[in-house]
Amino acid sequence: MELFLARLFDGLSSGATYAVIAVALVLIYKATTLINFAQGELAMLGSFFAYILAIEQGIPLYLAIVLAMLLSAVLAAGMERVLIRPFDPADHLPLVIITLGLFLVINAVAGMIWGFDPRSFPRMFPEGDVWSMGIARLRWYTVGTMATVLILLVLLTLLLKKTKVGLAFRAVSSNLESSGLVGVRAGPTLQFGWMLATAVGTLAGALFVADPFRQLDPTWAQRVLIFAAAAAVLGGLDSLWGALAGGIILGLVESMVVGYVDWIPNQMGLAAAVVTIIIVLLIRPNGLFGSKAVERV
Amino acid sequence: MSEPRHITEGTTAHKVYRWVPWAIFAFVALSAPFWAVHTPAFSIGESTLTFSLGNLNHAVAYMVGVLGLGILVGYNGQISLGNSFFMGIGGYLTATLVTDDGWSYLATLLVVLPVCFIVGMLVGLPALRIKGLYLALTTLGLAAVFPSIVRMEQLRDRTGGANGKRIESDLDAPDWVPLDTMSDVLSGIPLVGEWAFGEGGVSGREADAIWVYFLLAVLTIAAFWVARNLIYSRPGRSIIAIRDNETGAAVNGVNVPMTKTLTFGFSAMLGGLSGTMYAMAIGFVAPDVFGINLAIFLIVGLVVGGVGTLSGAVIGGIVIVFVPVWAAQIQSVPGVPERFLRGPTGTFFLGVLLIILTFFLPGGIVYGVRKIRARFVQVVPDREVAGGDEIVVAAGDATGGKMSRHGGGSALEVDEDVLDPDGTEHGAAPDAVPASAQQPNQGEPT
Amino acid sequence: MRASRLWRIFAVLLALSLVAAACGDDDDDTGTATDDTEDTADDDGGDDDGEDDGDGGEVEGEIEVAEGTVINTDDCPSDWDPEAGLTDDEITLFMSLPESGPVAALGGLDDGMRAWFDQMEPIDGRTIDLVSADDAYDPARTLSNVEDVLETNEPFAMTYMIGTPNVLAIRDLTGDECMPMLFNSTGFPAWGDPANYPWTIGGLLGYNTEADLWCTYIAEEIGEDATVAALYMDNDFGLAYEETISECDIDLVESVRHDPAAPDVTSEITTLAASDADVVVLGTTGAPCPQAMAAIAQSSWQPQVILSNTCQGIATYFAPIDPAGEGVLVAATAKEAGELDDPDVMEAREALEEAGLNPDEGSFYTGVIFGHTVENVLRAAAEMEGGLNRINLMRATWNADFTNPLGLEGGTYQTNGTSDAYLVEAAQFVRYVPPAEGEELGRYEPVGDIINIEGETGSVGG
Repeated sequence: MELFLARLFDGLSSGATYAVIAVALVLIYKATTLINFAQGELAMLGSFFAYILAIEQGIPLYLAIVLAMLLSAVLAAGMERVLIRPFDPADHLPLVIITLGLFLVINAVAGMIWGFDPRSFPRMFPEGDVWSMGIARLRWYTVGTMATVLILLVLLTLLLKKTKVGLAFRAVSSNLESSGLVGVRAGPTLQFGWMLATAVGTLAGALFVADPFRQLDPTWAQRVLIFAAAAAVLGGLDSLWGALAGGIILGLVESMVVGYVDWIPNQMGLAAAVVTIIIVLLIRPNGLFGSKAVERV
Repeated sequence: MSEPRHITEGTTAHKVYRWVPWAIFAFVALSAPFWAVHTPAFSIGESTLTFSLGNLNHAVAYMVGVLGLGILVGYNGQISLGNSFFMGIGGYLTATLVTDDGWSYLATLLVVLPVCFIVGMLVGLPALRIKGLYLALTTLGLAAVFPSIVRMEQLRDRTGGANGKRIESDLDAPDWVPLDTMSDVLSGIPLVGEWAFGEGGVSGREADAIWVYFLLAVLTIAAFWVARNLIYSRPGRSIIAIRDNETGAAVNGVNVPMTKTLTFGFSAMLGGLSGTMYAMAIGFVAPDVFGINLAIFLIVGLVVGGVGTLSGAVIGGIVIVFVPVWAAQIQSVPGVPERFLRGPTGTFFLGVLLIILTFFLPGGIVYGVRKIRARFVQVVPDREVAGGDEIVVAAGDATGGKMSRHGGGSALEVDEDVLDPDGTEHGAAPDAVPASAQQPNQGEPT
Repeated sequence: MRASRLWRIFAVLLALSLVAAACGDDDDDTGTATDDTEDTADDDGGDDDGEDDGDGGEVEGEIEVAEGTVINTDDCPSDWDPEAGLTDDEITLFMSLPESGPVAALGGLDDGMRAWFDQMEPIDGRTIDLVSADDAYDPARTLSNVEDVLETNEPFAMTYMIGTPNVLAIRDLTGDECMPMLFNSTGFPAWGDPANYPWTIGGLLGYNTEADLWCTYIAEEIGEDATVAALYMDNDFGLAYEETISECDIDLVESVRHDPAAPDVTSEITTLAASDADVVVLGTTGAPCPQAMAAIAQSSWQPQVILSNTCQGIATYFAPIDPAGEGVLVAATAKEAGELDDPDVMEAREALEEAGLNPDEGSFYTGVIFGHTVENVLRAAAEMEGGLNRINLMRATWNADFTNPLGLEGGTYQTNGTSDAYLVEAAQFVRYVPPAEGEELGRYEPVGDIINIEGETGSVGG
């Protein structure tokens, strides 16, 4: 029983962190229907901003994170304006390539600036457990992360459904041309999408490295990206709540399935995740909660 | 701006225009190993950039991998990012058959090609249902998983596990290949011969490396030839039709699932070939070589070369290998503090290259070259041949592709001609022109 | 319109300038007081020429450079020169290492070595020029780097090449080219094979030897019936540990491998925790080291943790998780960078600081340790008959007997051809003590005596 709970809590913990990065990916996808390879690296950059603000400038942690979110949003706005806006949003290929290029560039630059030694990121949540039984520990960190993700999702859903900005966003993501015809300016709205997604990414990054078990270094994002992308895919690329579901499922698969099924070696966690995705996508090709794409002839 | 010079089809000038670049390319391809075997080094400031035969062989091996990816992504529209998976299969199969079972390298192709084709088709089956970005990410996951599979306990005897596997069989240049003579001939070229090719004569080790190059070159040419024939044939048109409009293709009688799966298999087969070539070039396979980094680099190579072109794969292979190598060799750049030149500079430059290319050369280098060439020279159909209606579609677009009419009749036929070295393919169908590279007046109905 | 565009540009510049400001943070000194240290003699050459075979000075034909170790120069390329890479005032050495890619953290080794080479006394009037190339841990690039350098700027020797697959990829080549490849920076035991590969030798405590030491320690100090759990990184490195541990005479109740590219190892630790073993051995390196230690420290499972000595660096691996590393045992093979009361360590730190490097960061300090070893062997070779040449270098390598000032007190660096093909065979178990109030970094406390199995491990294949 103890082991079961321990694995359950592990799965929730890692699942929550996958989910929050997946939410950032989904936001970009909703806005632009493209997958942003650079999202993970931007999140990593944001986590470094938070680190610098908190540790070197001595700003209180939560404030530092908020500032980092704003900073990275600004950076994203600039990026969108300079690198993305010149292209036709309907044409995906150049945009995908640009994000791929950004992925490589940011990855490299972070390594060159900050080196690869691990650093300790300040704790966002109290250390220790909310509840524990032997080795099964429901940590404050897990609870805190889940709570943050839930609050984030609620806020985002409210934003998208109830505000004017959100309405514009939804219009643009649903039909770019028509929304232009009714007066929604695609450029600034997409830029808003980028800013929002990057800010969420920074928050996700801070959450990820604030885990007492993890340290901050420039390579964390490239290790997590594939899992977060898998979570987004699993839940449906255009579904925010789907990202949460996908993340949790993936986390649980990793800890429970791999842990309990003997013939799956532990180091095949990623393989198990890929297999899970394939199975789910075969049944529901748009992810669990994604909307079906209508193909026009 | 001056008018581009018009060359009429069928004239001698046209023949020159088409064949001379091929001849030049052939000469370069033939003589490159003799040049590279002495590892020419270029000093730029404090940095020394080398061009070695080992890297060249490496690049040639990757060209076929990029080609395989290109067929699937560029010509068939299935966004699969997992070609590194098949390269890994090919590389490891060759490694184990040669080392453990004593096969010859080329004989392993008899196993590698069918196995990869079948596995590719199997992977292509779920791809019928999973589409677009979902497919892209799933195949990326597949590529990321390959190293763990190789390291699995059960396979360790065959794969060498995490330590990698040295292939215990060297490719020695057979005696009947006149490498020495060729080297002498090249060195004998007045003025540049000695400067470029050294003093002539090749040592044993050098000869082996050059021999490997020629083996790889032959395999690459074969791969490109097969690919080209596929694209320019009826099944090839079906493949492209699926990319352009899947439902339309189905309506027109294309067996979509079959074609898609077969294309997957074909692309995987090329990937496997590429892996075998890698094994021949490097002589060593390790799990992380065929992981997610390779998958990403293959895409980069494809994009930089040109999606939807075949010749782009040549450029792609070279870029993937040489940009990181040269980036690492750059020791100083004026104005940049040295600490920024250590570390992941290769990745940095590749990323910057991608971004710059997208702005200035969307569609890749091959398209850029075609555009530039189209400014100077354009091929015009021979007005006398077009019977019946005398509508000659003006050749004015950036890519130079156009249709020609054959004799009378109203049916427009696509000219099934040789793939031009200049890349100008007669007939628009095989050409995949991304929207961003087209002139506005060619806008397609949405 | 204009204004908002300007505003955006300004915002981007602001963000970029913040990023640029971040550049300055790495050069901070940890502010250690520089003691007035005695300048310890740089000539660590010590005695050498151990068991030379009396052929001394020969550089041609079949030469037995050490016991069971035969070099035949007739097998070398026709243009082979035993003094290649040497000029009147320079010795050119080469190393290919990962400066980018998954193990980029090791990229500072060459800088550390250079910092030491720039400080030391010239050997026979020559200084050392270390040429390095990045291979991103990709064996294909290691191979091409080596091929390149053989063509363009042939070094006297290669040194401390990193990565088992990388070295495996080039071992045959360097052997064929009669190029000394010394002190491979991997603990893979296959490098101790002078009978078949006389031109290459390993430079680290073998992973198998280290695992053996762990087993011995567990059996003797913790108890023969102690239950043991093990975590291995799923790559050449971790699996080398696994092979030895699985053959040890201990009660291994649970072992788990983790993906080197995994974001964290929490679920693996949970599996191990469920076994409630008395001891856990961490055969992993890099980011998973602090992750595992932190996870274990915070769980209800309180085993004795034994950590791979590749994660020995306190500043890198223990400081971020202080005090979670308390009580962790490491089989140390060298003095730690934080031992400020040791004059040799201080000398190393000063050398690094002179070169503008932070001694507590990255792999710079380790580079100095390596630099000492290289220096010792070169000096020994230079003092042989015939002076510095490749044959003497291999004689010195396979008949080594020196001490490394940054090595353990009482540790020896000895080899003797096939009877003792491993250079580093001494280790000292140390226990980590977190920093006290007011201190920045923790330190190691020695546990027990130094374990020296010098000469006991023979060589591969006899």
